[in-house]
Amino acid sequence: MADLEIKNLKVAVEDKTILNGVNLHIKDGEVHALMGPNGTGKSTLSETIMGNPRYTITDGQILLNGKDITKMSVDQRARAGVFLAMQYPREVAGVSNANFIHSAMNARSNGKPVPVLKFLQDLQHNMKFLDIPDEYADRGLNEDFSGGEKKRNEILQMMMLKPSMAILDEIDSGLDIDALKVVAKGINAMRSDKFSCLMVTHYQRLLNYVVPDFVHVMVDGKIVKDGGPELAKELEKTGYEGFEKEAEKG
Amino acid sequence: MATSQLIDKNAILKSSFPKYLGIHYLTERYEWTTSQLAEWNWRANNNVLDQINKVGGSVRRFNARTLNSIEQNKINTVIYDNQQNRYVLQHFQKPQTGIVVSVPDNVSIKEPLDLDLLLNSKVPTAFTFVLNLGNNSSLKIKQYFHISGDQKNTSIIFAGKQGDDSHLKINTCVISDHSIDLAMFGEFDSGNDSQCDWSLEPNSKGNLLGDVSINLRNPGSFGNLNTLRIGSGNDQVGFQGAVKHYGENTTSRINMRGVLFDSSKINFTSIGQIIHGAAGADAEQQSRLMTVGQHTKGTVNPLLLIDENDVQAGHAASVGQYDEDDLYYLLSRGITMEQAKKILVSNFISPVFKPLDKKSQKLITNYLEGSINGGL
Ligand SMILES: Nc1ncnc2c1ncn2[C@@H]1O[C@H](COP(=O)(O)OP(=O)(O)O)[C@@H](O)[C@H]1O
Ligand SMILES: [Mg+2]
Repeated sequence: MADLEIKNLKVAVEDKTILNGVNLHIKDGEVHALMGPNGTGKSTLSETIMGNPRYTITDGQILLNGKDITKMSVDQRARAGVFLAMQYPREVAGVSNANFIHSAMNARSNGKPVPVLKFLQDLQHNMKFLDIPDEYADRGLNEDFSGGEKKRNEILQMMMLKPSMAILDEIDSGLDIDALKVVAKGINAMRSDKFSCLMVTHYQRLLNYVVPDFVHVMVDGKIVKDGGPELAKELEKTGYEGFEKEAEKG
Repeated sequence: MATSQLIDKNAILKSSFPKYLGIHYLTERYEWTTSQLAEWNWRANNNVLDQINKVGGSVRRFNARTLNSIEQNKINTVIYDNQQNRYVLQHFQKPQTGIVVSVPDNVSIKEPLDLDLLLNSKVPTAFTFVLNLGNNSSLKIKQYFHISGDQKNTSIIFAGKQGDDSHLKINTCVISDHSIDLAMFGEFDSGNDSQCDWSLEPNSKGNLLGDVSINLRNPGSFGNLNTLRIGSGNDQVGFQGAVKHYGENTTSRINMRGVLFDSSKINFTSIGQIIHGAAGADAEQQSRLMTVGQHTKGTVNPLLLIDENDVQAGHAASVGQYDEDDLYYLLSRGITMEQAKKILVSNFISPVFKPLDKKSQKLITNYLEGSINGGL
């Protein structure tokens, strides 16, 4: 279960203010979409929730199940249930995909290691589900994966780690339609009252396959409109220009 | 001619402690004398020993008197090439001991020779490894030096010669149970179209001074030199690895990696040298250090010494901590800082670690674990 509440969040990078007071409340089992033009602060919000040290919170709170997590380290937040599928996943060739996922699962299981056999069965099952070839388990973590393969691997990690609060930052970017469907299938498989999700995207396309409960529009570091799935459809027709003009007017 | 006759007092006087660009070390640390012959033992896998013996080769302990002329010549070459280097000359003035591996022409030994060298002497050891690999022969050696027995100093010299069209793959792993000052010198000489693939992991505790090279003396030969050193405590390490191109169309690859914990210091110098006349030579090198401990100091000096126009050469070098974004990515999955750093260390060393045999990997992993647990 996860309830994530963001209150009046202001964030700066290198002394430049990026988020100007974001308010957002994601309750148990809800899927939210955060949309907006490039450069408005969607990734900044995602990274700040995860605890990326590049971003400095200047004001506001991030509450996970009522508890402020802003002082927690990145790994503590992860173990508390937060997961971020990154816009640009890193390649770390020195650890195999499978070993890395297993270590991460062990780190989250309160000192009780996840049995190897059970782990391998689950891994194989989920890889098949996501159309990831078997041999990718033994490849280095994201090593020489294409952009689309990295995104799929983020979803694989999510399915294995079973976070209660997943943030998916542009999980749809650079995917062809088949890959997009696979990724959507992974997200939908996670949906339950124990799984909350924030999908960050620039385009409406993903939302045809993963229908969100709520849609928010972010412009210039602020959420300027909230709505249901129909808001995404509307945006597809009108684009972000209307919102941007309004934001300029202040 | 016996070794000691080659080195008269004059030669020693004319020699000096070697100077290396970018490497600083205390000269007296590696200078020592003894009149006692060091004790040591060795063992190897019997099936490969049998194979080598059957074809007329040998693996045997030697002292100064039991070397044949080819073997002695090889040592003389090392002395000749290092006549300015006082340590090398002093090494051969000490009571001589070591091991000879000799394989005749036209023999291909598939299974690796698993060679454990147990240097367990109380007195300092001057150990020489002599290799003579015949024409058109191939051999793999996994060599493990285990240094124990209270010795404060150890000196290891490599004297290797390969015939034409021969293939040598050798891994040299050094560990110790206590802190020593280790000096390592020597060279492997190629033949026509021969290949030499040498991995060196001098990970004895304490200080290290090293200067090794593969000499591509003949056309068409290939040399690959990989080095891995983990620094911990107050270790001071100066290591120079070189491949020297004399023959035409010779190719070299050097990859040196070091990880620094605690207050260790590592200076690496890598040299790709192309002599005038070695047209068509191709030399690539990498030299990288990862500084994990707060008080470590690392420098790398990649050198290309090129005296020929028609060549290809390149180098890459770096000294630094782990990548912050990589660390963040690993942490974001919930593993601890300590685990994440371990992964980043193995990630860093993997280009020189992954090609190693299982036993060396295990020895290095154990050593690394010990260093990491104290050093993160
Ligand atoms: N690590 C960073 N360093 C410097 N500027 C950054 C960094 N991350 C984001 N920014 C700046 O913050 C603004 C918002 O970026 P971002 O959050 O990536 O937007 P979005 O994800 O909506 O495209 C941009 O102007 C961007 O240049
Ligand atoms: Mg973004």
